Amino acid sequence: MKVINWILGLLAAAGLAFCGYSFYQYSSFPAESYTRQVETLDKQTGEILENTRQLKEELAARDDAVRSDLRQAGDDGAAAARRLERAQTERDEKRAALDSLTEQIDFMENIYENTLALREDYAKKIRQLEDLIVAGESEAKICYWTLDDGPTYQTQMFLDVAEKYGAFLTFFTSREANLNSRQNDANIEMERDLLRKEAMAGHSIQNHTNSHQYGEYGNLYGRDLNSFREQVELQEKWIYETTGFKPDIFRFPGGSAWAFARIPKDETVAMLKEMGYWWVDWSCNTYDAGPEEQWPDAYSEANYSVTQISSMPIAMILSHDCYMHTLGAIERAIPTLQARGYLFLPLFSQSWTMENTKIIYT
Amino acid sequence: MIRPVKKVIVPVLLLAVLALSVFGAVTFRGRTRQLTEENEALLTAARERQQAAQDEYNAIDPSTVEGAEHQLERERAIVSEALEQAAALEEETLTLNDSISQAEEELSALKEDEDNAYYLAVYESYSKGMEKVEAAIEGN
Repeated sequence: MKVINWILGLLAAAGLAFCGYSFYQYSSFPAESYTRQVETLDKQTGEILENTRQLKEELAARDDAVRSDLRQAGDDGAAAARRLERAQTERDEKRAALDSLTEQIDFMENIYENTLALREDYAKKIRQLEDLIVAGESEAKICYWTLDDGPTYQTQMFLDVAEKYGAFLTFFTSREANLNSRQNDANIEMERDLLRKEAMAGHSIQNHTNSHQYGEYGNLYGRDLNSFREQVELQEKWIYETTGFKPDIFRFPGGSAWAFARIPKDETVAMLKEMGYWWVDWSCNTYDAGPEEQWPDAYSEANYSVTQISSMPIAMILSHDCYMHTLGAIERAIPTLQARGYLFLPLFSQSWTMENTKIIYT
Repeated sequence: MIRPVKKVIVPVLLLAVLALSVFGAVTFRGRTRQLTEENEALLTAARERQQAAQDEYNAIDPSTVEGAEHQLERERAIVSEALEQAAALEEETLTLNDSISQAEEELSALKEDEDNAYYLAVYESYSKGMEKVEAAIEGN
């Protein structure tokens, strides 16, 4: 029994020692060492990740540099750069060409509205220049050379002269005024073409009544105002249907003095205003019309015109595009007046002259 | 009476001490092993993270073979991207050529229209006149 107890005692002592040793191992486990190692490793990992991030940024910057200059990517890159540049340039040129064409198409699809808008701007610009001239702030001069009673067989020659000198004229048209000059073989198509040519050349086309006291209306002012109005409307309709532009300036056949001696001025002017018209006479009469024996020759008519308006910074000349002597006169007068600083412009209703050219210089 | 009891108690106590000692030793060793495994796992995970980070760095580091290859690949990709872009632009140019042809035909038809041609001539004449007036306003 003792032996057993001794053996058990030894075993128990060994067990206790082993237990103690195990406890010692447990209690002295180097957890902090592990933690430090993990922290160190994580810190190093963090530094590596940061370096990686910086390197990625550098590489991305380099990629961007290569993208912006492909030649940095060697021969292949240089070839790609050339091809890309060529393709880009060609595409941009084509796109610009298409944009331009689209713009032109849009412009052409609205050409009538665009022309009306430009006409409005043009008239305003002329008015601006007139205001400067009147205020003495511009040395420019303006001549509104007006031609009554056309279109006629001679009109084309007047247009040629105007084109030759870059002059713009104003035509106070009357469809029946030139019956004599066309010798009763009315060529409707020719008149239509001439009227459109006048417009195409940038001249102003205005209203001088349909009859101009000829034919049935031998006495335009001898009837009631409605008959007079009818003659204004007939001419307006023809001009509008032919040119696309409604006239808004009226000149009395024979002049306002002649007209107002026969019809009531206030009522007539009110009627014209209600119809959307300004009326105007002239500041210089060339006296190119009248009995044939009194017609001036081209030289004296030109001289007279030039002399008459020489004191006027803004002048309006009365003549007729149905006389060859007037054609000769205008061909002489235009370059002479241009040399003296006159601009030959089309007359629009926005003009200063609408309010101020009621004095007839004869 | 006491002697027989003593005979029994001493071995029983010794056995109990032995059993408790063995139990304690097994328990502490088990806990120690568990702690070791847990901490080794943490350490291994940290090493793996570090290695992964290092591998990632090496993969893009141009000074390494792998990184240099990676850079070359990126350059190739950029060049390829540029070539694709050029091809797309060339394709677009072809499409634009068709559109331009159509637009030219449309514009030509518009200009050939009698009324449009007429108004265009009027417009151009007004433009010429406008230029003269503007020049006069500017004092030229």
